[in-house]
Amino acid sequence: MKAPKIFAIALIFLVLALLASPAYAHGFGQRYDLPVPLNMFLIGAGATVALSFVVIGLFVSRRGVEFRYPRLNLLRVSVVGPVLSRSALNAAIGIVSVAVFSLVVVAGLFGVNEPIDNFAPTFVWIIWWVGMGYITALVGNIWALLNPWKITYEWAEKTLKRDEAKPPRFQYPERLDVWPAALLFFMFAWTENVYSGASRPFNLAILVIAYSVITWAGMAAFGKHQWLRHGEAFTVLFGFFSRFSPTEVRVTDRNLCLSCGVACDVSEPDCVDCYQCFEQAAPEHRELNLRPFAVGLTLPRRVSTATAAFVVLALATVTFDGFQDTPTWANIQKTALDLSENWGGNPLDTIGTIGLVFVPVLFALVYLGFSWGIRRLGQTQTSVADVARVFVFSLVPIALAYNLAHFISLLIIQGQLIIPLVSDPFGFGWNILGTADYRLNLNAINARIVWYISVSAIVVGHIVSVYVAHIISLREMPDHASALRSQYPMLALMVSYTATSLWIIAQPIVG
Amino acid sequence: MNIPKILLFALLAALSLSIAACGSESEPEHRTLNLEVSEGVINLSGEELRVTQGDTVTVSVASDEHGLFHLHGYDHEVPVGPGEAAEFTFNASASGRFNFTFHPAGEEAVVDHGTLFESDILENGQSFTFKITDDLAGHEIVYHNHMNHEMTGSISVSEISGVADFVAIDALAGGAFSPLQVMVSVSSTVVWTNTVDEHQRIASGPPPENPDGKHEHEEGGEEVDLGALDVYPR
Repeated sequence: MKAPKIFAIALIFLVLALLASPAYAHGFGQRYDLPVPLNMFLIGAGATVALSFVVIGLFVSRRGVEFRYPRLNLLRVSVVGPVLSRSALNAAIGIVSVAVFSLVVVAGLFGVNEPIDNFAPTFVWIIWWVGMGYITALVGNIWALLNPWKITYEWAEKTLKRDEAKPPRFQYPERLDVWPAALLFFMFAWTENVYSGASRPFNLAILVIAYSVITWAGMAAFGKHQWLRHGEAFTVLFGFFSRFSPTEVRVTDRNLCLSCGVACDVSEPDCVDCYQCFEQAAPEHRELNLRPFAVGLTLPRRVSTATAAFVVLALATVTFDGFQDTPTWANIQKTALDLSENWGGNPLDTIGTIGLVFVPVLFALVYLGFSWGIRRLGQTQTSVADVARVFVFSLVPIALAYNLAHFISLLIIQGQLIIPLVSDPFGFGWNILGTADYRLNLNAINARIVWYISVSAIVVGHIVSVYVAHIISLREMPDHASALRSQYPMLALMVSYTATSLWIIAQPIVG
Repeated sequence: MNIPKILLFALLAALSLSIAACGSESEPEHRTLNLEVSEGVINLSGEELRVTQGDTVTVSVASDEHGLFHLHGYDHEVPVGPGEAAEFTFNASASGRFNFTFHPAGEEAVVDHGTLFESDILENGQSFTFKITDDLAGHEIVYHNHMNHEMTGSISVSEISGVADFVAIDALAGGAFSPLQVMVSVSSTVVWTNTVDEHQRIASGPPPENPDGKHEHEEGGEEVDLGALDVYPR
């Protein structure tokens, strides 16, 4: 099975190399953000530190380790419940999702090859990538419903009348874990942050097709759920995000949960956020719950090294995305450009690639360093790697908050590009829905509102992270005192991470 | 549990209040920004490129090079060039940081407010025809061979009619147009003929400048980043 994968990766790089086209400013969509003013940066930083101690104070007096949270099963709520349980709704969502997916590919392949005039770049980079990140974090894992690769695969299964219970052609090698997804995500992040041709509709369509082939092949070879859980980068990533969200799917059939096995780590009596089990469960055992934000991050889970690495990679790339817009990065680029006279290819792409590798490695090393501190002060017997794995999800809220702060104005202002584009997705001058002449409303969100939202989100995200880490420490550390002590290094790490986020949004934006 | 919670909300409230207090309360004003572009760099005449939302802003651009000055976001585009400064006025209704860029006059840009032309590739013996339109009266049209930037020529459009109805320009060996300069009038027809084996492509405007010695991208002139206008929220 190794050969096809290597072949696929080689294919992608080959395609990229062939398509290397005029350099565009990295990313897609012009940004009009005003940097956060100094006073707000300082207030945000001060609040971060002060509130951290408030949260600690909250825990000093707290003893009980038992952690429960209130839930409301939406499937039992009148009106809402019956609507949500309708399979017709599901089918309709599936058709719409696949239709939009096809439109992206067709527009990319056959439409005008200009980023602004084609449906594909705006939809993929702004509406889907930014929007889906927001919704999975703030509402729930709708990617599980919308995933066009999963839906089309299910259609194909149904058409070919393949028995779902039949074991897949190949057994997924468990030791590969989520590494394929992490690798594919890294390639996606590279495309988004480094590859200068990513805004070209045609290139984008080719990349989407390549990823689709990999995903369909993976599902066909190893089984739908196996590949989604281990190899479909976005299922895994949005799954991380949605642990923060206020909704969960839960299966209350203990036996079924156990039979889903490693797939769904059974932490509680029920299994939570396990879609494989949820699909198989009888209706009376299914729950779609509202829950408080972020509690999904505190649930005890088996976190593998690969998962932890993927989380760190995701955190680092989110930060790198913003760091690329700072003058500091521009200086690094300038210095490197002077040194790179005789490098081949596109030197900016090379520098970006180095940065995209370096930043996650740096993140991982710093995190391991602090994990070592947590272990020392918490006086636990577990290894540094175990500590790192157990706490890794507590960093997610800081990254989500930063992601929200970084993209809010892009989504609200540049996201409007989709309004004219739905009327003329190919750039052929059509006006299907009569919206082709829509002009962006630059006033849709005021810079001051952006500042408020950004700084508050980052501060709140920080508090939530500190809170989640504490809950985890109370569960994992031998006693209350060591749990508290273990959190000082964690707090230092989180304050510096949050300060980095604040620093980036306070930077003058370049390019 | 309750007291820290209250404290937390108090802190959050204090945070948002202190931020809210930072708003400026000045009246909208009329601001004029004088920008001088020389060699792709902007020279600020003591102006800070920062206005407040709601201000009326007049941007005046002088440039030593022909091209288009573009304020992004608000999407104002004015042709600029040596001589008089180009001006536009707008209401800074939206806050944000808006880049402005300079597109040097390449084959795609509008030169001297005129229309542009570009031939197909001409082989030996092939010709390209361009008819002078009314709006070009009194203008000087610069053109070049896009396959060989050394080859340039110009057409003066007289305001007097009947100067010449038909002008033939030959592209000769050794990289020159003959005649180098022609005088025509409105609705004259100009025909270029390639008389050599090298391929040629006639395009209006001066040849693209390559200060770095790099070849420019085929699509659109290369865009020079000049800076940004900050519109602060009121």
